[in-house]
Amino acid sequence: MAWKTQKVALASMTIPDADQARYHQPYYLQKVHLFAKRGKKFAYLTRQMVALLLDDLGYAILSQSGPVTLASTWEKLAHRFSFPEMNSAFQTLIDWQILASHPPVSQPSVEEETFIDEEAQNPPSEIWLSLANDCNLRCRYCSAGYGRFGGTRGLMTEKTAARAMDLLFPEDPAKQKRDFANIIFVGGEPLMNYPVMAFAVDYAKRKAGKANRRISFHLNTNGTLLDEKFLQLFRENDFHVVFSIDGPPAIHDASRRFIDGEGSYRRVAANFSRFIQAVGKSRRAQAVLHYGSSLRETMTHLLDLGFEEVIPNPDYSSPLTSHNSAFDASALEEFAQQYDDWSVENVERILSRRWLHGNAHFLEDLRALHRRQPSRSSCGAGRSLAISAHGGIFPCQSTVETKPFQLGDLTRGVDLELRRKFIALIENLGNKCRGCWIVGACSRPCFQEAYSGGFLDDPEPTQRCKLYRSYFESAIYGYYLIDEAGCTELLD
Amino acid sequence: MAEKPKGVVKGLNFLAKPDEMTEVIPLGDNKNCDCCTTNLGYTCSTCPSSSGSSAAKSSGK
Repeated sequence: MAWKTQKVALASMTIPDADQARYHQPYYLQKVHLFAKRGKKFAYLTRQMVALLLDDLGYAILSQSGPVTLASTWEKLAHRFSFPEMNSAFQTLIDWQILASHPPVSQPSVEEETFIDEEAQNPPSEIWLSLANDCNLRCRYCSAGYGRFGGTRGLMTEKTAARAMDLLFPEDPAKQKRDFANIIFVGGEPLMNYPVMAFAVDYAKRKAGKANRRISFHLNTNGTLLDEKFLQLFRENDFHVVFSIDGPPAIHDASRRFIDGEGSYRRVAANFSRFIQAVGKSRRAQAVLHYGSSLRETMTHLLDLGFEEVIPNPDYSSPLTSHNSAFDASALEEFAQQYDDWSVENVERILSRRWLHGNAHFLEDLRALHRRQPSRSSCGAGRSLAISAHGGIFPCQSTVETKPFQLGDLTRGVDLELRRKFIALIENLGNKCRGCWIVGACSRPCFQEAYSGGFLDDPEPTQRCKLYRSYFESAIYGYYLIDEAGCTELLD
Repeated sequence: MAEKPKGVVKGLNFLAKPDEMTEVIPLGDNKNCDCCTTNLGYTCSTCPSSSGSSAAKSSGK
Protein backbone atom coordinates (compact mmCIF):
# COMPACT_ATOMS: atom_id res chain seq x y z
CA MET A 1 0.00 0.00 0.00
CA ALA A 2 1.13 3.49 -0.76
CA TRP A 3 0.61 4.56 2.85
CA LYS A 4 2.97 1.85 4.15
CA THR A 5 5.52 2.72 1.52
CA GLN A 6 5.43 6.34 2.67
CA LYS A 7 5.78 5.29 6.32
CA VAL A 8 8.86 3.32 5.46
CA ALA A 9 10.18 6.26 3.52
CA LEU A 10 9.65 8.45 6.60
CA ALA A 11 11.34 6.00 8.91
CA SER A 12 14.39 6.03 6.74
CA MET A 13 14.19 9.77 6.04
CA THR A 14 16.47 12.17 7.77
CA ILE A 15 14.74 15.27 9.03
CA PRO A 16 16.97 18.22 8.21
CA ASP A 17 18.38 20.02 11.26
CA ALA A 18 16.50 23.16 10.31
CA ASP A 19 13.19 21.27 10.57
CA GLN A 20 13.97 19.20 13.65
CA ALA A 21 13.08 21.96 16.11
CA ARG A 22 9.51 22.26 14.95
CA TYR A 23 8.91 18.62 14.04
CA HIS A 24 7.19 18.07 17.38
CA GLN A 25 6.34 21.71 18.04
CA PRO A 26 2.59 22.08 18.63
CA TYR A 27 0.80 24.70 16.57
CA TYR A 28 -2.63 26.12 17.25
CA LEU A 29 -5.28 27.08 14.74
CA GLN A 30 -5.99 30.81 15.07
CA LYS A 31 -9.36 32.49 14.61
CA VAL A 32 -10.10 31.16 11.17
CA HIS A 33 -13.08 29.68 9.35
CA LEU A 34 -12.60 26.88 6.85
CA PHE A 35 -15.08 25.87 4.21
CA ALA A 36 -15.28 24.27 0.81
CA LYS A 37 -17.57 25.36 -1.99
CA ARG A 38 -17.90 24.03 -5.52
CA GLY A 39 -14.61 22.15 -5.29
CA LYS A 40 -12.61 25.11 -3.94
CA LYS A 41 -11.30 25.36 -0.40
CA PHE A 42 -11.12 28.57 1.57
CA ALA A 43 -9.92 29.97 4.86
CA TYR A 44 -11.22 33.23 6.30
CA LEU A 45 -9.13 34.95 8.93
CA THR A 46 -11.59 36.76 11.13
CA ARG A 47 -9.41 39.36 12.75
CA GLN A 48 -7.58 40.26 9.58
CA MET A 49 -10.67 39.98 7.34
CA VAL A 50 -8.55 38.08 4.85
CA ALA A 51 -9.87 35.32 2.62
CA LEU A 52 -7.42 32.73 1.34
CA LEU A 53 -7.69 30.10 -1.34
CA LEU A 54 -6.19 26.88 0.04
CA ASP A 55 -4.86 23.84 -1.73
CA ASP A 56 -5.88 20.35 -0.65
CA LEU A 57 -2.88 20.01 1.63
CA GLY A 58 -3.47 23.31 3.45
CA TYR A 59 -7.12 22.42 3.94
CA ALA A 60 -6.25 18.93 5.21
CA ILE A 61 -3.74 20.30 7.72
CA LEU A 62 -6.16 22.89 9.04
CA SER A 63 -9.05 20.44 9.24
CA GLN A 64 -7.37 18.57 12.09
CA SER A 65 -8.70 19.19 15.56
CA GLY A 66 -6.64 20.39 18.50
CA PRO A 67 -3.03 21.51 18.41
CA VAL A 68 -1.16 19.99 15.47
CA THR A 69 2.47 19.05 14.95
CA LEU A 70 4.33 18.35 11.78
CA ALA A 71 4.93 14.86 13.11
CA SER A 72 1.29 14.08 13.82
CA THR A 73 0.20 15.59 10.53
CA TRP A 74 2.74 13.51 8.70
CA GLU A 75 1.33 10.45 10.42
CA LYS A 76 -2.12 11.25 9.11
CA LEU A 77 -1.39 12.56 5.66
CA ALA A 78 1.72 10.76 4.51
CA HIS A 79 -0.36 8.64 2.14
CA ARG A 80 -1.41 11.78 0.22
CA PHE A 81 1.48 14.22 0.41
CA SER A 82 5.28 14.19 0.55
CA PHE A 83 7.20 15.44 3.55
CA PRO A 84 8.75 18.41 1.71
CA GLU A 85 5.28 19.46 0.56
CA MET A 86 3.98 19.23 4.10
CA ASN A 87 6.91 21.09 5.51
CA SER A 88 6.38 23.85 2.99
CA ALA A 89 2.67 24.03 3.75
CA PHE A 90 3.31 24.29 7.50
CA GLN A 91 5.62 27.22 6.94
CA THR A 92 3.12 28.94 4.64
CA LEU A 93 0.31 28.54 7.17
CA ILE A 94 2.56 29.95 9.88
CA ASP A 95 3.49 32.88 7.64
CA TRP A 96 -0.18 33.60 7.07
CA GLN A 97 -0.75 33.59 10.85
CA ILE A 98 -3.25 30.75 10.58
CA LEU A 99 -1.08 28.46 12.67
CA ALA A 100 0.78 29.88 15.66
CA SER A 101 2.74 28.50 18.55
CA HIS A 102 0.20 29.89 21.01
CA PRO A 103 -3.56 29.30 21.33
CA PRO A 104 -5.81 32.01 19.89
CA VAL A 105 -6.11 34.99 22.21
CA SER A 106 -9.62 35.48 23.51
CA GLN A 107 -10.86 39.03 23.60
CA PRO A 108 -12.28 40.53 26.76
CA SER A 109 -15.96 41.38 26.85
CA VAL A 110 -17.05 44.95 26.49
CA GLU A 111 -18.03 46.09 29.95
CA GLU A 112 -16.95 49.66 29.83
CA GLU A 113 -19.51 51.40 31.98
CA THR A 114 -17.95 54.76 31.32
CA PHE A 115 -18.41 54.65 27.59
CA ILE A 116 -21.94 53.32 27.96
CA ASP A 117 -22.76 56.21 30.30
CA GLU A 118 -21.36 58.61 27.74
CA GLU A 119 -23.31 57.00 24.91
CA ALA A 120 -26.51 57.32 26.90
CA GLN A 121 -25.89 61.04 27.41
CA ASN A 122 -25.08 61.77 23.77
CA PRO A 123 -27.87 63.03 21.57
CA PRO A 124 -28.67 60.63 18.74
CA SER A 125 -27.21 61.30 15.31
CA GLU A 126 -29.81 59.14 13.64
CA ILE A 127 -33.55 59.28 14.13
CA TRP A 128 -36.32 57.16 12.67
CA LEU A 129 -39.57 59.07 12.27
CA SER A 130 -42.78 57.06 12.05
CA LEU A 131 -44.73 59.63 10.11
CA ALA A 132 -47.79 57.40 10.06
CA ASN A 133 -48.98 54.77 12.47
CA ASP A 134 -51.08 53.53 9.61
CA CYS A 135 -50.72 52.00 6.18
CA ASN A 136 -52.75 51.84 2.97
CA LEU A 137 -51.70 48.23 2.35
CA ARG A 138 -52.59 45.03 4.13
CA CYS A 139 -49.51 42.91 3.50
CA ARG A 140 -50.15 39.49 4.90
CA TYR A 141 -46.73 39.25 6.58
CA CYS A 142 -46.71 42.74 8.07
CA SER A 143 -44.88 42.75 11.40
CA ALA A 144 -46.01 46.26 12.21
CA GLY A 145 -49.70 45.44 12.57
CA TYR A 146 -50.45 47.35 9.35
CA GLY A 147 -48.53 50.28 10.69
CA ARG A 148 -50.30 50.45 14.02
CA PHE A 149 -47.78 48.37 15.97
CA GLY A 150 -50.64 46.95 18.00
CA GLY A 151 -51.76 50.47 18.98
CA THR A 152 -53.98 53.10 17.49
CA ARG A 153 -53.87 54.64 14.02
CA GLY A 154 -52.53 58.15 13.69
CA LEU A 155 -50.36 60.55 11.75
CA MET A 156 -47.43 62.42 13.25
CA THR A 157 -48.03 66.14 13.76
CA GLU A 158 -45.65 68.96 12.87
CA LYS A 159 -45.21 69.67 16.56
CA THR A 160 -44.08 66.09 17.23
CA ALA A 161 -41.75 66.13 14.23
CA ALA A 162 -40.20 69.40 15.41
CA ARG A 163 -39.61 68.00 18.88
CA ALA A 164 -37.99 64.93 17.37
CA MET A 165 -35.69 67.13 15.29
CA ASP A 166 -34.80 69.03 18.45
CA LEU A 167 -33.51 65.75 19.91
CA LEU A 168 -31.27 65.40 16.89
CA PHE A 169 -30.14 69.02 17.00
CA PRO A 170 -29.92 70.14 20.63
CA GLU A 171 -29.70 73.87 21.30
CA ASP A 172 -26.42 73.49 23.17
CA PRO A 173 -23.72 73.33 20.43
CA ALA A 174 -21.44 71.41 22.80
CA LYS A 175 -23.89 68.50 22.70
CA GLN A 176 -23.78 68.28 18.90
CA LYS A 177 -20.85 65.92 18.76
CA ARG A 178 -21.34 64.60 15.23
CA ASP A 179 -20.98 66.69 12.11
CA PHE A 180 -23.76 64.77 10.38
CA ALA A 181 -27.30 63.59 11.05
CA ASN A 182 -29.47 60.91 9.45
CA ILE A 183 -33.23 61.13 9.32
CA ILE A 184 -35.16 58.05 8.24
CA PHE A 185 -38.83 58.36 7.37
CA VAL A 186 -40.77 55.20 8.06
CA GLY A 187 -44.24 54.06 9.05
CA GLY A 188 -46.61 52.39 8.60
CA GLU A 189 -46.50 54.11 5.25
CA PRO A 190 -44.68 57.46 5.53
CA LEU A 191 -46.06 58.75 2.21
CA MET A 192 -49.45 59.02 3.93
CA ASN A 193 -48.13 62.14 5.62
CA TYR A 194 -46.63 64.49 3.04
CA PRO A 195 -47.17 67.75 4.98
CA VAL A 196 -45.16 66.58 7.98
CA MET A 197 -42.45 64.99 5.84
CA ALA A 198 -41.98 68.28 3.99
CA PHE A 199 -42.10 70.19 7.26
CA ALA A 200 -39.53 67.90 8.89
CA VAL A 201 -37.16 68.21 5.93
CA ASP A 202 -37.35 71.98 5.99
CA TYR A 203 -37.05 72.17 9.79
CA ALA A 204 -34.10 69.77 9.88
CA LYS A 205 -32.28 71.59 7.10
CA ARG A 206 -32.55 74.88 8.95
CA LYS A 207 -31.32 73.27 12.17
CA ALA A 208 -28.47 71.49 10.40
CA GLY A 209 -27.44 74.66 8.64
CA LYS A 210 -27.37 76.58 11.90
CA ALA A 211 -25.26 73.85 13.52
CA ASN A 212 -23.10 73.45 10.42
CA ARG A 213 -23.88 69.73 10.24
CA ARG A 214 -24.46 67.58 7.18
CA ILE A 215 -27.79 65.86 6.93
CA SER A 216 -29.12 62.97 4.89
CA PHE A 217 -32.69 61.85 4.36
CA HIS A 218 -33.80 58.27 3.93
CA LEU A 219 -37.17 56.72 3.25
CA ASN A 220 -38.67 53.25 3.30
CA THR A 221 -41.92 53.15 1.34
CA ASN A 222 -44.35 50.86 -0.40
CA GLY A 223 -44.28 53.38 -3.24
CA THR A 224 -47.98 53.32 -4.01
CA LEU A 225 -48.67 56.91 -2.97
CA LEU A 226 -45.74 58.46 -4.79
CA ASP A 227 -46.70 61.57 -6.74
CA GLU A 228 -45.09 64.66 -8.22
CA LYS A 229 -44.76 66.56 -4.96
CA PHE A 230 -42.85 63.69 -3.37
CA LEU A 231 -40.62 63.31 -6.42
CA GLN A 232 -39.75 66.98 -6.21
CA LEU A 233 -39.01 66.69 -2.48
CA PHE A 234 -36.75 63.66 -3.06
CA ARG A 235 -34.95 65.27 -5.97
CA GLU A 236 -34.29 68.53 -4.18
CA ASN A 237 -33.15 66.92 -0.96
CA ASP A 238 -31.13 64.00 -2.25
CA PHE A 239 -33.33 61.36 -0.64
CA HIS A 240 -32.20 57.74 -0.37
CA VAL A 241 -35.33 55.75 -1.13
CA VAL A 242 -35.98 52.05 -0.61
CA PHE A 243 -39.06 50.63 -2.29
CA SER A 244 -40.76 47.57 -0.85
CA ILE A 245 -41.56 45.31 -3.76
CA ASP A 246 -41.50 41.55 -3.63
CA GLY A 247 -40.88 40.57 -7.25
CA PRO A 248 -43.05 39.75 -10.28
CA PRO A 249 -46.76 40.68 -10.17
CA ALA A 250 -48.05 37.29 -9.07
CA ILE A 251 -45.58 37.06 -6.18
CA HIS A 252 -45.93 40.68 -5.11
CA ASP A 253 -49.71 40.77 -5.32
CA ALA A 254 -50.09 37.55 -3.37
CA SER A 255 -49.00 39.44 -0.26
CA ARG A 256 -48.95 43.16 -0.85
CA ARG A 257 -52.53 44.20 -1.33
CA PHE A 258 -54.60 47.29 -0.78
CA ILE A 259 -57.32 47.26 1.83
CA ASP A 260 -59.88 46.24 -0.81
CA GLY A 261 -57.78 43.19 -1.67
CA GLU A 262 -56.40 44.49 -4.97
CA GLY A 263 -52.73 43.82 -5.61
CA SER A 264 -50.41 46.80 -5.47
CA TYR A 265 -47.77 45.73 -8.03
CA ARG A 266 -49.07 47.73 -10.98
CA ARG A 267 -49.11 50.94 -8.94
CA VAL A 268 -45.68 50.59 -7.36
CA ALA A 269 -44.02 49.49 -10.60
CA ALA A 270 -45.49 52.49 -12.45
CA ASN A 271 -44.42 54.83 -9.66
CA PHE A 272 -40.92 53.40 -9.60
CA SER A 273 -40.70 54.08 -13.31
CA ARG A 274 -41.61 57.72 -12.61
CA PHE A 275 -39.04 57.77 -9.82
CA ILE A 276 -36.32 56.63 -12.24
CA GLN A 277 -37.26 59.42 -14.62
CA ALA A 278 -37.50 62.12 -11.99
CA VAL A 279 -34.84 61.19 -9.45
CA GLY A 280 -32.75 58.42 -10.99
CA LYS A 281 -30.29 57.69 -8.24
CA SER A 282 -30.55 55.37 -5.25
CA ARG A 283 -32.68 52.76 -6.96
CA ARG A 284 -33.04 50.28 -4.15
CA ALA A 285 -35.70 47.73 -3.36
CA GLN A 286 -36.30 45.44 -0.48
CA ALA A 287 -38.15 42.25 -1.15
CA VAL A 288 -39.70 39.85 1.29
CA LEU A 289 -39.25 36.27 0.12
CA HIS A 290 -41.88 33.74 1.06
CA TYR A 291 -41.45 30.08 1.68
CA GLY A 292 -41.51 28.31 -1.65
CA SER A 293 -40.76 31.40 -3.72
CA SER A 294 -37.76 31.72 -6.03
CA LEU A 295 -35.02 34.15 -5.09
CA ARG A 296 -33.69 34.01 -8.63
CA GLU A 297 -37.05 34.95 -10.10
CA THR A 298 -37.43 37.86 -7.69
CA MET A 299 -33.91 39.19 -8.16
CA THR A 300 -33.98 38.91 -11.93
CA HIS A 301 -37.32 40.63 -12.19
CA LEU A 302 -36.44 43.55 -9.92
CA LEU A 303 -33.03 44.16 -11.47
CA ASP A 304 -34.58 44.07 -14.94
CA LEU A 305 -37.17 46.56 -13.70
CA GLY A 306 -34.34 49.03 -13.07
CA PHE A 307 -33.35 48.57 -9.44
CA GLU A 308 -29.61 48.73 -8.82
CA GLU A 309 -29.68 46.87 -5.54
CA VAL A 310 -32.25 44.57 -4.03
CA ILE A 311 -32.34 43.58 -0.38
CA PRO A 312 -33.85 40.10 -0.18
CA ASN A 313 -35.17 39.16 3.21
CA PRO A 314 -36.79 35.86 4.05
CA ASP A 315 -40.17 36.17 5.64
CA TYR A 316 -39.49 35.61 9.29
CA SER A 317 -42.56 34.88 11.31
CA SER A 318 -44.52 37.88 12.42
CA PRO A 319 -46.01 38.21 15.87
CA LEU A 320 -48.77 40.58 14.79
CA THR A 321 -50.24 38.76 11.83
CA SER A 322 -50.93 35.18 11.02
CA HIS A 323 -49.93 33.59 7.76
CA ASN A 324 -48.30 30.39 6.66
CA SER A 325 -45.47 31.48 4.39
CA ALA A 326 -42.84 32.18 7.05
CA PHE A 327 -39.54 30.32 6.91
CA ASP A 328 -38.73 27.66 9.45
CA ALA A 329 -35.18 26.42 10.09
CA SER A 330 -35.10 23.91 7.23
CA ALA A 331 -36.67 26.38 4.83
CA LEU A 332 -33.98 28.91 5.74
CA GLU A 333 -31.34 26.37 4.78
CA GLU A 334 -33.03 26.02 1.43
CA PHE A 335 -33.13 29.80 1.13
CA ALA A 336 -29.40 29.97 1.89
CA GLN A 337 -28.81 27.54 -0.98
CA GLN A 338 -30.87 29.70 -3.32
CA TYR A 339 -28.89 32.71 -2.13
CA ASP A 340 -25.63 30.92 -2.86
CA ASP A 341 -26.74 29.85 -6.32
CA TRP A 342 -27.89 33.37 -7.13
CA SER A 343 -24.53 34.77 -5.93
CA VAL A 344 -22.76 32.94 -8.76
CA GLU A 345 -25.30 34.28 -11.23
CA ASN A 346 -24.94 37.74 -9.69
CA VAL A 347 -21.19 37.65 -10.30
CA GLU A 348 -21.78 36.61 -13.92
CA ARG A 349 -24.11 39.61 -14.29
CA ILE A 350 -21.57 41.94 -12.72
CA LEU A 351 -18.76 40.68 -14.91
CA SER A 352 -20.72 40.72 -18.15
CA ARG A 353 -22.04 44.25 -17.58
CA ARG A 354 -18.96 45.50 -15.70
CA TRP A 355 -21.32 47.15 -13.21
CA LEU A 356 -21.67 46.40 -9.52
CA HIS A 357 -25.35 45.68 -8.99
CA GLY A 358 -27.56 42.95 -7.61
CA ASN A 359 -28.15 41.53 -4.17
CA ALA A 360 -27.47 44.29 -1.63
CA HIS A 361 -26.36 41.89 1.12
CA PHE A 362 -23.96 40.18 -1.27
CA LEU A 363 -22.54 43.46 -2.60
CA GLU A 364 -22.06 44.78 0.90
CA ASP A 365 -20.09 41.69 1.87
CA LEU A 366 -18.00 41.89 -1.31
CA ARG A 367 -17.17 45.52 -0.55
CA ALA A 368 -16.31 44.66 3.05
CA LEU A 369 -13.95 41.94 1.87
CA HIS A 370 -12.38 44.18 -0.72
CA ARG A 371 -11.78 47.03 1.70
CA ARG A 372 -11.06 44.75 4.62
CA GLN A 373 -13.36 46.96 6.61
CA PRO A 374 -16.41 45.96 8.61
CA SER A 375 -19.50 46.71 6.58
CA ARG A 376 -22.31 46.20 8.97
CA SER A 377 -21.53 47.76 12.29
CA SER A 378 -23.13 46.78 15.53
CA CYS A 379 -26.78 47.33 16.33
CA GLY A 380 -27.31 51.02 17.00
CA ALA A 381 -30.61 50.60 18.81
CA GLY A 382 -30.71 53.00 21.73
CA ARG A 383 -27.91 55.14 20.36
CA SER A 384 -30.19 55.92 17.45
CA LEU A 385 -33.77 56.59 18.45
CA ALA A 386 -37.12 55.87 16.82
CA ILE A 387 -40.05 58.21 17.31
CA SER A 388 -43.58 56.88 16.99
CA ALA A 389 -46.30 58.93 15.33
CA HIS A 390 -47.67 59.63 18.80
CA GLY A 391 -44.35 60.93 20.11
CA GLY A 392 -43.11 57.88 21.98
CA ILE A 393 -39.34 57.40 22.04
CA PHE A 394 -38.03 53.88 21.35
CA PRO A 395 -34.59 52.34 20.77
CA CYS A 396 -35.21 51.37 17.14
CA GLN A 397 -37.91 51.04 14.54
CA SER A 398 -38.42 47.38 15.37
CA THR A 399 -39.34 48.21 18.95
CA VAL A 400 -41.76 51.08 18.23
CA GLU A 401 -44.80 50.84 20.50
CA THR A 402 -43.26 47.95 22.43
CA LYS A 403 -43.93 49.36 25.87
CA PRO A 404 -41.23 47.48 27.84
CA PHE A 405 -38.62 49.22 25.74
CA GLN A 406 -40.06 52.70 25.59
CA LEU A 407 -37.33 55.16 26.57
CA GLY A 408 -39.57 58.15 27.06
CA ASP A 409 -41.69 60.51 25.05
CA LEU A 410 -41.16 63.83 23.38
CA THR A 411 -42.97 65.72 26.14
CA ARG A 412 -40.84 64.44 29.00
CA GLY A 413 -37.72 63.58 27.02
CA VAL A 414 -35.45 60.54 27.06
CA ASP A 415 -35.07 58.64 30.33
CA LEU A 416 -31.27 58.50 30.40
CA GLU A 417 -31.12 55.65 32.88
CA LEU A 418 -33.41 53.50 30.72
CA ARG A 419 -31.35 54.40 27.68
CA ARG A 420 -28.13 53.50 29.48
CA LYS A 421 -29.60 50.13 30.50
CA PHE A 422 -30.71 49.46 26.96
CA ILE A 423 -27.33 50.29 25.43
CA ALA A 424 -25.71 48.01 28.03
CA LEU A 425 -28.17 45.27 27.01
CA ILE A 426 -27.13 45.69 23.36
CA GLU A 427 -23.46 45.55 24.31
CA ASN A 428 -24.06 42.39 26.28
CA LEU A 429 -25.84 40.90 23.31
CA GLY A 430 -22.87 41.82 21.10
CA ASN A 431 -20.54 40.08 23.52
CA LYS A 432 -22.16 36.80 22.55
CA CYS A 433 -20.81 37.30 19.04
CA ARG A 434 -17.18 37.39 20.03
CA GLY A 435 -16.58 33.76 19.12
CA CYS A 436 -18.34 34.01 15.78
CA TRP A 437 -16.14 33.87 12.70
CA ILE A 438 -17.89 36.71 10.87
CA VAL A 439 -17.87 39.15 13.77
CA GLY A 440 -16.95 42.47 12.27
CA ALA A 441 -18.62 41.71 8.98
CA CYS A 442 -22.04 41.35 10.55
CA SER A 443 -24.59 43.64 12.16
CA ARG A 444 -24.70 41.38 15.21
CA PRO A 445 -28.07 40.15 16.38
CA CYS A 446 -31.09 42.29 15.75
CA PHE A 447 -32.23 43.20 19.23
CA GLN A 448 -35.90 42.81 18.42
CA GLU A 449 -35.33 39.36 16.94
CA ALA A 450 -33.19 38.34 19.89
CA TYR A 451 -35.88 39.53 22.29
CA SER A 452 -38.81 37.92 20.53
CA GLY A 453 -36.84 34.76 19.79
CA GLY A 454 -35.57 34.31 23.32
CA PHE A 455 -31.95 34.79 22.26
CA LEU A 456 -31.25 37.25 25.06
CA ASP A 457 -30.84 34.29 27.41
CA ASP A 458 -29.77 31.76 24.82
CA PRO A 459 -26.14 31.24 23.86
CA GLU A 460 -27.06 29.59 20.58
CA PRO A 461 -27.01 31.68 17.43
CA THR A 462 -30.24 32.86 15.90
CA GLN A 463 -31.47 31.70 12.52
CA ARG A 464 -30.32 35.03 11.16
CA CYS A 465 -26.80 34.35 12.48
CA LYS A 466 -26.70 31.09 10.55
CA LEU A 467 -27.99 32.81 7.46
CA TYR A 468 -25.45 35.64 7.65
CA ARG A 469 -22.61 33.15 7.99
CA SER A 470 -23.84 31.38 4.90
CA TYR A 471 -24.16 34.73 3.09
CA PHE A 472 -20.55 35.54 3.89
CA GLU A 473 -19.29 32.23 2.57
CA SER A 474 -21.15 33.01 -0.66
CA ALA A 475 -19.44 36.40 -0.76
CA ILE A 476 -15.98 34.88 -0.30
CA TYR A 477 -16.66 32.50 -3.16
CA GLY A 478 -18.02 35.39 -5.23
CA TYR A 479 -14.88 37.37 -4.50
CA TYR A 480 -12.84 34.41 -5.68
CA LEU A 481 -14.75 34.38 -8.99
CA ILE A 482 -14.26 38.12 -9.47
CA ASP A 483 -10.57 37.78 -8.65
CA GLU A 484 -10.22 34.90 -11.11
CA ALA A 485 -11.73 37.13 -13.79
CA GLY A 486 -9.21 39.84 -12.89
CA CYS A 487 -12.00 42.32 -12.16
CA THR A 488 -11.63 43.23 -8.48
CA GLU A 489 -11.22 46.87 -9.53
CA LEU A 490 -15.01 46.87 -9.95
CA LEU A 491 -15.14 46.86 -6.15
CA ASP A 492 -12.88 49.91 -5.72
CA MET B 1 13.12 27.14 -10.44
CA ALA B 2 12.00 27.09 -6.81
CA GLU B 3 8.87 25.11 -6.04
CA LYS B 4 5.75 27.09 -5.26
CA PRO B 5 4.97 27.07 -1.51
CA LYS B 6 2.23 24.68 -0.53
CA GLY B 7 -0.79 25.17 1.70
CA VAL B 8 -2.11 28.54 0.56
CA VAL B 9 -2.70 29.14 -3.13
CA LYS B 10 -3.24 32.86 -2.72
CA GLY B 11 -4.69 35.65 -0.64
CA LEU B 12 -7.90 36.70 -2.36
CA ASN B 13 -8.40 40.14 -0.89
CA PHE B 14 -4.89 40.65 0.41
CA LEU B 15 -2.07 40.74 -2.05
CA ALA B 16 0.77 41.99 0.12
CA LYS B 17 3.14 39.67 1.95
CA PRO B 18 1.58 37.72 4.83
CA ASP B 19 3.89 39.31 7.37
CA GLU B 20 2.41 42.69 6.44
CA MET B 21 -1.07 41.52 7.32
CA THR B 22 -2.51 43.42 10.26
CA GLU B 23 -5.59 42.87 12.35
CA VAL B 24 -8.41 45.10 11.17
CA ILE B 25 -11.23 44.20 13.51
CA PRO B 26 -11.03 45.72 16.96
CA LEU B 27 -12.85 42.89 18.67
CA GLY B 28 -12.61 44.60 22.02
CA ASP B 29 -14.03 47.86 20.76
CA ASN B 30 -17.65 48.25 19.93
CA LYS B 31 -17.99 51.99 20.19
CA ASN B 32 -16.90 53.26 16.85
CA CYS B 33 -20.26 54.00 15.35
CA ASP B 34 -23.58 55.22 16.53
CA CYS B 35 -24.97 56.34 13.25
CA CYS B 36 -24.94 53.14 11.32
CA THR B 37 -26.77 50.19 12.69
CA THR B 38 -27.72 47.21 10.63
CA ASN B 39 -26.47 48.80 7.49
CA LEU B 40 -27.69 47.70 4.15
CA GLY B 41 -25.78 49.97 1.94
CA TYR B 42 -26.23 53.69 2.29
CA THR B 43 -23.04 55.67 2.39
CA CYS B 44 -22.13 57.34 5.60
CA SER B 45 -18.65 58.56 4.89
CA THR B 46 -18.04 59.97 8.33
CA CYS B 47 -18.43 56.76 10.19
CA PRO B 48 -15.09 54.98 10.41
CA SER B 49 -16.44 51.48 10.63
CA SER B 50 -19.33 51.46 8.29
CA SER B 51 -20.40 52.35 4.83
CA GLY B 52 -23.92 53.36 5.58
CA SER B 53 -26.87 54.22 7.70
CA SER B 54 -29.41 51.76 8.90
CA ALA B 55 -32.24 53.08 6.84
CA ALA B 56 -32.95 50.10 4.71
CA LYS B 57 -33.61 47.67 7.48
CA SER B 58 -37.25 47.74 8.27
CA SER B 59 -39.56 45.15 9.51
CA GLY B 60 -42.92 44.97 7.94
CA LYS B 61 -42.54 46.90 4.71
